[in-house]
Amino acid sequence: MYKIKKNKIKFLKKYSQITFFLSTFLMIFVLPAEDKKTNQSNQPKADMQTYKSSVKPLLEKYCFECHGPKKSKGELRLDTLNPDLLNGDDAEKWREVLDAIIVEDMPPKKASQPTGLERNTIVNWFSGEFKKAVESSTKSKTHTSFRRMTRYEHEFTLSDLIGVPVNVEEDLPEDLYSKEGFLNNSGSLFFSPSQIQAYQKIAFEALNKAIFHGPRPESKWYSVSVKRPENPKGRFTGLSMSSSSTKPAVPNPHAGVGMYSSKRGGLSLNMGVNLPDNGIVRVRMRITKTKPGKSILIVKFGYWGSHTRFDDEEVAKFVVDGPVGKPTFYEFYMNLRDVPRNPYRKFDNNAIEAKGIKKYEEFYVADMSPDSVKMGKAVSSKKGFLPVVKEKKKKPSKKGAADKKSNKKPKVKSKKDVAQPSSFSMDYMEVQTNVYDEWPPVTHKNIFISSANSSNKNVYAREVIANFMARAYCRPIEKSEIEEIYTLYEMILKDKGSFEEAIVKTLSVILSLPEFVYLFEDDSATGSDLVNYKLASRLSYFLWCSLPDNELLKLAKAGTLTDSKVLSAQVKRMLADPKSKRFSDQYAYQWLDVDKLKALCVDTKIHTKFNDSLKKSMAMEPLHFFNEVLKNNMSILTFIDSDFAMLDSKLSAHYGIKGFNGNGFQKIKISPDRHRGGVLTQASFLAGASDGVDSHPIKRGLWLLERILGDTPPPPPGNVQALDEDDPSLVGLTLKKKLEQHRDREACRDCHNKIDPWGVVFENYSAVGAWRTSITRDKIKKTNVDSSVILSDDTSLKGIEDLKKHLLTEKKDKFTRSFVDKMCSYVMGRTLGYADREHVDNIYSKFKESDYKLSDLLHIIVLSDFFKSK
Amino acid sequence: MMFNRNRRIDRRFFLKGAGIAMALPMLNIMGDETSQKKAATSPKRLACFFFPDGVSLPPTKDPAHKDWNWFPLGDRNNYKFTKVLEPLEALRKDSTIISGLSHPITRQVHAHNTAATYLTGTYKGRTQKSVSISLDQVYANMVGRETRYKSLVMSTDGGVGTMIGSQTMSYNKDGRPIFAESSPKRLFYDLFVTPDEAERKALGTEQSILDFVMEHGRNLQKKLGVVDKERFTNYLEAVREVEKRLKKAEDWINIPKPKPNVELDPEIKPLKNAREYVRTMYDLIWLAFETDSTRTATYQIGQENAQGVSDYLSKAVGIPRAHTLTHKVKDEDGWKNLGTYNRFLVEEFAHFLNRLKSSKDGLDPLLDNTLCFFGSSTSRYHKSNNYPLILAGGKKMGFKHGQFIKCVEEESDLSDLYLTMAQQLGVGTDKFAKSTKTFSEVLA
Repeated sequence: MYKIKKNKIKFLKKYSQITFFLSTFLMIFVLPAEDKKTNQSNQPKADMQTYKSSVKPLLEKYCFECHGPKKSKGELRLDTLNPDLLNGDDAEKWREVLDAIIVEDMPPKKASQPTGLERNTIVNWFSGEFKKAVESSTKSKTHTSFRRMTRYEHEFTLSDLIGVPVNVEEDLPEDLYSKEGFLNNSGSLFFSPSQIQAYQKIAFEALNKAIFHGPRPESKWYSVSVKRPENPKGRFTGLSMSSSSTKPAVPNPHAGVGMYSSKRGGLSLNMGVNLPDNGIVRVRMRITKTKPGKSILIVKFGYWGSHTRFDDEEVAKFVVDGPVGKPTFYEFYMNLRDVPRNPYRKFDNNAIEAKGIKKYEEFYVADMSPDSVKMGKAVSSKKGFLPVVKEKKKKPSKKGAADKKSNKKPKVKSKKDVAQPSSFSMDYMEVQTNVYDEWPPVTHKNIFISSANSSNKNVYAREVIANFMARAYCRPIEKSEIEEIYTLYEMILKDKGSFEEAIVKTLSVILSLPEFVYLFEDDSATGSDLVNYKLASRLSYFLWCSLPDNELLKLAKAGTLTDSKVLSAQVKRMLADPKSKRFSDQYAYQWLDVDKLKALCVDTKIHTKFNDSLKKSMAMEPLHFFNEVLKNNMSILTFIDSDFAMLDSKLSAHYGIKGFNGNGFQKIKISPDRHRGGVLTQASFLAGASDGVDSHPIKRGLWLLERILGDTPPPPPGNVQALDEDDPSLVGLTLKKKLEQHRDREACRDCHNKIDPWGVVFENYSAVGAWRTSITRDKIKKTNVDSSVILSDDTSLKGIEDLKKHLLTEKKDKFTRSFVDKMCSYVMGRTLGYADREHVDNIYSKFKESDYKLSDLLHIIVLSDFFKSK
Repeated sequence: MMFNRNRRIDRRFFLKGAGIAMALPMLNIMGDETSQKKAATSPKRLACFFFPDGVSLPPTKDPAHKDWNWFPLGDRNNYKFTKVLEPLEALRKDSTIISGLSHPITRQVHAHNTAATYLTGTYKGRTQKSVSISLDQVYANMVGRETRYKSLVMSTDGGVGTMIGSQTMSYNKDGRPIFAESSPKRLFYDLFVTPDEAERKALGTEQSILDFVMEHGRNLQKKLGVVDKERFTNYLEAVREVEKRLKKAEDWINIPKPKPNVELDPEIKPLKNAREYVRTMYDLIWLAFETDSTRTATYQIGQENAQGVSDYLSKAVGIPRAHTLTHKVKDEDGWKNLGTYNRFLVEEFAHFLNRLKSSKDGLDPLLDNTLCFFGSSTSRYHKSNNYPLILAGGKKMGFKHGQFIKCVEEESDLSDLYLTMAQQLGVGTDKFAKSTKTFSEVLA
């Protein structure tokens, strides 16, 4: 069952290489649908007669020796598979077998080969049987898209539905990865004990956050006026924050006021624990340009999650391009639920002391102009602005003097201590809390809708329930459904007593019911006319990982969503929406198995520059890269090689790429001598598939086969001894040689010949993905890296450049087809079977015509019949 | 003074979530029987403990070896504890030290990813097929119905963690993780505090809601297609599981909870009072056994790889972070520091064994009817072989003690021992994980 991907690839290879089979096979397999209609009266029957007389003897002759009673290589025995594809359970396995025969992967080269005619006999019979099996459809529908939401979908859906941030991580267990590498596969989305109640608990908490009682909360203003000393060595004045419950008078602009800025430094406004849990805050800053030209001002909000980690998020970004010397206000609004809040802000001091955690939260204002110069780091003080650094001139290095002071490493800080005036200055900053446009806020009104009946609780309860159900289920609700929930409400009301409490409890139960928790049921049996609504959901869970918005639902209601023009416009709109980043991030993360990094423990004695923040950047890189390819509708071949990379300062330093300037992730041109570009050279993969000490060619090879080429080698047989690094006979050998020895063991050879070379070719990358030309290790003297390999098909490759070339030429079809297979499996949320092949073939050929453009692929899939199928 | 529960605060906790359900899932209560049956013979208990990151194992040549090697020096019947296991000296006749065992399936897996394997013997990483049932649940499935709680599942960090960074030792028959409770207060509450009227009412509401969800689900299932119907069974099973749990809670609601006769501070926090926290967790298990509130308990003392609060437990012996110790063994006093931390863990385990030994279960010490298993799935720094393991108690179940059993590394399967443990507990099985072999060295 588990090599379907591979088969498709092989099938494809057949397209391009084996023209003879192409003609016969295609004709039979992709055959017209008219046959189906005309033959509907006679149910197709399995042709066992031909199997026995002409097919089985051939399998016996060429296959059974290795896959029969005596041996069962690759855990496969053909003699025990049921050849009845219509009624038996082994059709998927036979699909694999047939593909191996078609592309002449089997029998292996060394063994005796069937003649062309013999091969044709086998292929023709199976192809015919498969066609019948697909048509008879009872056995072909073993996979369903019907599934519960994943953990991340649940989180996004609840946040979007209720309008408050939701974090399900504490309450829901992790989802598991399917063999295709995805989290949304219907076959692996199980329920854990207590999960139903966890759903209710999460929903209950989220609903309570959305509901507001009492009068409108009063605003508070927090402001700081800061004056930079005229003498650069002097102290900042006016640094403490004042608070008031009325709008403060803004002081006159100071002369010579200013701030320092840098890549890491800037000005921080320590808010203490003053910010409320909810609501909008308005932030105003008075900025004066000090240099001509365009400056970039950014504001971040965050907190120190531990003594080493600052968790923050950019909350505003301005282009400051006014005239020099003229004070101007810049302001923005921020919703406190959208920013990372310090989870410790309410802890008592004792509880957090052990972790070196700070309770306060802060705004952080910095000059991010491209030419801004590095400066110091914010230091904490009492509430108010935290001045960045004292301005120090960089002293000409006196080696002797430095050595005298200390024998330890010179301080790395020196560079940062040098302050430079920024391109603008700020002398006033003000934060106003509880800025509400309306009261109660919209999240409340979305639940307790305004109604003429709001005083008649019985009628109003029904209205509230009906409104909420329609929004949660994303479809029209039938009266009986409302009544059913109403009885639940009545029952809860009896116990709870309060109308509001009973409603919230009832709604939280709705959010644990299958209609909400499950997606994409096959309702063809009931004949309900919800095609448009189903389509809206499928579309939005694909591109937004969440429920459809009002526009999609409006189109569904109008019944126009099935129109391909409308659909196409929606895909465009949805991809332009920031919510599409969820898809992009999730897909990249799952496809490229970024999760692996989590389990990685790097030996920092060997890889001294590795740390957790670099690891975090590593995990982000493929996500940014994928998003860039998607946003610009680039060819997916960009994943194999690109002349740019998406890097932040840590990664660019790690990769030795110069020219990085500024903050966050940026698109950087890279020259070929840096050996980067595409996903194959990203540290998330290279480090993720290492053991933290050295590179791990087997893991890397497996990753390449599974993730890029869509091949899943069988698991190793039981009781195989892994390579023992301490085995005296192996000491002193390079890894490549060790692997060669490993391969020499009979049990391992067959598979490892197909795996290891794909990993050894990456040997120029260390365990943390840094480029290297030589290796020094405990037991091995400095040796030059040997990244030349011979693939199992006798192709020689030397290093990453050769590999990329090979993938872009010889394996281009294999990669692109595997990409489409994976995307289709993700879109449908299920394992693909042989019955899906025709659909995927059609999608693939259109994708090929579009030159493999990623965004085009999403359009092609959405517009396909496949997307509308179950 | 007896612990005097502050009911107001507890109720706040209680109502904060979705009601009583939030307090209950932690104590994986299952089973259908309503009566509080007392077995004719003394019931058998099982308690399993896990700690992360491995132990101090200085090489033989290292001067620290003789003092700080986890394993004793000497041979099977004539062995000398080092400073690490010294706290077990008085319990020598009640304990067996085992070296060389491991789970074959994770020998190649980074030790930090093996916590879920420890008690299950299976490892599938993060893929579709997860681990399978853990040893404690095998036994709990057999005897869980006899007691108020099917099993106690506890860990310092609580919850389930991730597949590779498990925060629970217990996995159900489908290999799904069971939530572990980390709060002594909640455990105490569930074990010894009889619910008040409001809580009884809340339990009733939860039951009605569950009944509603179940009926709703059943009706919906009828409308589904063949394949979807099958997939949906999973949902109904999950509902049924909660229903059973609530049912059991209801069945027991009128049976007063026992009163523990010992002083306990359930407000204890691991970050503030590491040693007292660990001791309290042990004491809760002891009390749960003594009052026959459950027959099975697991307590994961720490999470692998320095995640979570458990890494600070080393503050009990004045060491800031536990996991770092394993990286610093080659520094001055490195082995000593790790050994000192290990010794702390052993001291508390020994304290637990002594509690059981001094409690009477009929005529015998409670310890003789309680099988205790303590260890880690890491030996030296990040190697997942040669687990440091201690088996104690359970003499009435046929276990023989006072031995230091050295297994041949890489050849022995820890699941063999689990099979033997399960069999001696009375589970009629001849297989655990992949093992069909027994481990008779531990038997009298």
